[in-house]
Amino acid sequence: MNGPDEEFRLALESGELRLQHCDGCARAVFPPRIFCPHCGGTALAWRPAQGGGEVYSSTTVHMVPKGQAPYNVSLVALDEGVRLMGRVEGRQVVIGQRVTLRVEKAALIFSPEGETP
Amino acid sequence: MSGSSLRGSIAITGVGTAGCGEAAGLSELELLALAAHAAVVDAGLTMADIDGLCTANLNIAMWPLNVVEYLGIRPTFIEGTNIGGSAFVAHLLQAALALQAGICNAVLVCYGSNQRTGTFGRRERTIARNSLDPAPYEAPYAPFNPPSSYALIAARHMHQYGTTRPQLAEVAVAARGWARLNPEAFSRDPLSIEDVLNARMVSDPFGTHDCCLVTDGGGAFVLTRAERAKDAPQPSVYMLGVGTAAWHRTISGMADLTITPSVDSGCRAYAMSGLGPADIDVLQLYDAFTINPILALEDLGFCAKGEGGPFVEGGAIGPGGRLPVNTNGGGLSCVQPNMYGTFAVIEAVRQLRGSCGDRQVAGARAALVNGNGGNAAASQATAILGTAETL
Repeated sequence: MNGPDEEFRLALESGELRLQHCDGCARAVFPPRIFCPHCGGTALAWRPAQGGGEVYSSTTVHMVPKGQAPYNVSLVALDEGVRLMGRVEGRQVVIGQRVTLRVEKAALIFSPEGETP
Repeated sequence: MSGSSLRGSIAITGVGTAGCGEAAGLSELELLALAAHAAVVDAGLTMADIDGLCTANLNIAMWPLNVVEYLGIRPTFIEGTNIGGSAFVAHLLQAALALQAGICNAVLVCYGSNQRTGTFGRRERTIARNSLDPAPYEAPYAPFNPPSSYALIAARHMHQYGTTRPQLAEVAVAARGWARLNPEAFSRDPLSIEDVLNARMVSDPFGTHDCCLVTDGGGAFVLTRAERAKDAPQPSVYMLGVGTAAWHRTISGMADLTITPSVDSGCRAYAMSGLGPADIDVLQLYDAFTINPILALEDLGFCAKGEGGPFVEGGAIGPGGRLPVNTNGGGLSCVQPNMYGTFAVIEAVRQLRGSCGDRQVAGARAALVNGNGGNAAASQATAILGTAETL
């Protein structure tokens, strides 16, 4: 039997971000858990994420090997109510801006809403 | 619930440091042992008197065993809880409980690291740690940790409260001001706000001067019950209050990036001590990055949430400012061998003994030490220490 981490990973590898939702308190749960960290409930059901969210915080990493470009690391608050790390690819990344998710090589990549990647 | 029976029950009777800065040719155990020996001598004891041990190491899982063998001690109390750099502040609570219960009589809290000059360097250690303690939900995005996690905290604080990079720079400049008065500090060249702002970027909003030093160093201190401390050769410094709090492990799991667990650890330490922010004469706030002292000043009640930036402006926490913070120069300018907790405690003790020379805070009677641990302000341990007058 696969644990929640492995279930999550397999879905992501197939191109889909899935989140657990707790039957007990109706909250989304991330990272995947054995039981709900909010209410302790054990009935957690997987649902695909809708893909919309907002940049909660963001940094550009400048300590990169020679020849590589600085890159973005952000925390995104998904509309489901969970926050997770991902990369925002946009001309300018601003905290509070709306972003849209795509899964690329099992990673969470976000673009500013309305900007096509 | 406040644990007030522990107030003033134990004392720090000896402190020692070794190899602060660069200590090429010395191993981690050797640095630890040099500091431990100095602390035990300072306490007027011998290593044979040590029957309690608190220690931690970021690389070696069973580190207390390495230490007992090397020091040649057989302690009746062994405490190796590792919650990051705050661990050695947190150890005060466990040590106080053990001393008060009569499990032991003299506890040695000790640390050593050669992360700057050691042959197994920082890069190798990071790779090893990441493979032993993977962060599967962060690793694909390659945050440059710990700077990137604290950079995310700082960026959010700036967004939410209007904190600025020059305000962050004030923290680095104040630390350097103190370091220039401390012969033991590693970085003592003049540093201006402009220097901080113009430094090479690491993970924005942090440039190199917003990030702590990477040094070698050993630090140790000795604890005994208060009644036994009366015989110690140095003026004793008493533990008035202590509290520990931990809420998460990763930056993704931090509930509000602008609020650290020191909100809780501080409350616990204040409650035990019966003191509040207005009673504190000198602060040692774990400054892994320039944002850390700002968060601690807010979370420990020295200013309102969001006002830490304006609070530190105009040299307010540097020499001659209104609130002395990190009088040794802190991890930003004095010493930062990966885990800084022992050094924050040691500087508080030296201030309360009145032995700090040019950087002495006149009449210091009560000191607050705040430890920070983990890649994301994950653990916080707050201690309030005082002279005999404060008992």
